[in-house]
Amino acid sequence: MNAPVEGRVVYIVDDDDAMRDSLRWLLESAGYRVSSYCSAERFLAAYKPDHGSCLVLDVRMSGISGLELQQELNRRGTTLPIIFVTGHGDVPMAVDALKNGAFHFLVF
Amino acid sequence: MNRLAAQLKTMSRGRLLAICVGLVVAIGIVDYVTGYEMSVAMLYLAPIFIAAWTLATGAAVFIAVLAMAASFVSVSYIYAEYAQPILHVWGGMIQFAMFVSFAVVVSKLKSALSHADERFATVLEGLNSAVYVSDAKTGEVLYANEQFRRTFPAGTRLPYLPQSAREGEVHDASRGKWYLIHSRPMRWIDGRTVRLQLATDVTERRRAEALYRQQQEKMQLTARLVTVGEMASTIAHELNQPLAAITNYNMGCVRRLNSGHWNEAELLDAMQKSAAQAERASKVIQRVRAFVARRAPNLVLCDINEVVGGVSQMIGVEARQSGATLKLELSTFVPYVHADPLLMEQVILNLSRNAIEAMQEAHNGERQLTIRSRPNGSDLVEVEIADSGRGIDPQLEANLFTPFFSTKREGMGLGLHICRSIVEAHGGRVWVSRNSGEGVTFHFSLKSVFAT
Repeated sequence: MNAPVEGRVVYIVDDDDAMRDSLRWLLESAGYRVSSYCSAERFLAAYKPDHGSCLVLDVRMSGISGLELQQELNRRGTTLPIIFVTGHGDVPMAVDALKNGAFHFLVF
Repeated sequence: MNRLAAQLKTMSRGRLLAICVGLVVAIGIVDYVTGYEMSVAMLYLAPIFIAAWTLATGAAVFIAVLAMAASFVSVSYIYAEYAQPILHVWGGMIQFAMFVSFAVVVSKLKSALSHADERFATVLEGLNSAVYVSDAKTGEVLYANEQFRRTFPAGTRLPYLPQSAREGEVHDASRGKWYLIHSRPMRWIDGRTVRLQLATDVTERRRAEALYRQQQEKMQLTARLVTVGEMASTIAHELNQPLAAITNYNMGCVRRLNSGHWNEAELLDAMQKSAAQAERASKVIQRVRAFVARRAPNLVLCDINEVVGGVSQMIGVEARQSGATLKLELSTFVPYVHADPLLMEQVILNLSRNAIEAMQEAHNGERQLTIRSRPNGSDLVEVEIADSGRGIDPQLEANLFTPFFSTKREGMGLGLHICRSIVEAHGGRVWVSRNSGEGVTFHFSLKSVFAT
């Protein structure tokens, strides 16, 4: 396992409370600092470029969806790597995400 | 008098004729003995009447001729007393005409009466229902038609309907049959109070109804299974979320314990959260199981708002996954209804899922699902499921509720049909209307407990 990059933050955006909280718990056990948001809107409001190390993103959320958030970040020219995490992803969705530059597309 | 009439009725024709002839002869002798000073001619009318009432017209005329002859012979020895012998013959002819016309008139009257009687008897005997009149006090059967005699042979017990009841369906255990009985009190011809009852065998109808109910129940169970099947991916996701969270919490604990850097309070907290997620998963399974569980329809006093509240969780999950928001607008003044809460959940769930799907198809605007409840007068409760989809093709509208009609690629076309049969089984109705803005609204109404 790579050593965590000191001072860098992993962002989590997921609208399920338990998923968000448990992911934070897991990532903190690996030594990351975690900052979590319950919606894409909240994340966009708080996000400042060049602060994070990566973004763990849920695909389906009410309001702005994960894929829409990815497009918005691309439009803003951020290079934040995105790892999608979803319970029901399908192939077209994964292809879409990866074409738009996602780092990984995880299905649990 | 009644007894005499009844006795006459049972006698054979030959004996009746003999009695009439006997009477005529007897009266003739009396006529001869009493002489012309005392006229007994009126007495001849008795045997003529008996013959006309009980025998054919011909026999009555024969007795009339006989009576005439007897009268003529008995008084003929005094015809010398007449100023003109022809007067005696003239008097006899008048008497003869009177006797014969009396015989004919009585005979015609009798046949007219018995025709009228026969018409009623034919109708009553031909009925498929048992008709009977019984004494209100003793229960003695005073009249019974053919069907009654066939269904309830003498000595068997009659299906019992309480005195006060006007009609009702009664189960006859000894025959294994159901009878629909109509009963009304009336005054019998002899003045006593009797009950006129009409018993119709409704066993077949009841069997058909029971079969229909069974099939409806089976269909509703199938509908629930179909719904659960269609919702499989939603349910899987609902289970996946807590299971993934449990994995995360546990792996977080394992990693901390392995690294040696941990504090007890933190681990305990994570383990508790993990347990709570296991509970959440088990609730999902319970909910699905309760939804599928087979049971007889159960009409209870229920608050439709509570039903909407109960099923809104499942709908909320579906809505969220397709990027729609669910809004509940429930009136607090909705009266209670007599309904099966589970079946109502099914209807609301089916209509809501349709609405969510309608908004998914080629639609980029806001996806808003609204469930409303409101009273309509004091008699009706209305529930509305409104979507902001693209509406329904007017050409398809007529077929909306037809079974096996579907616009969905994988639809079975049963959803709306089932909704309608459930609501109609509750005495309500389902319909659809266009929204002033986007989309359509499905409505269903149920009778409130205040409905008359």
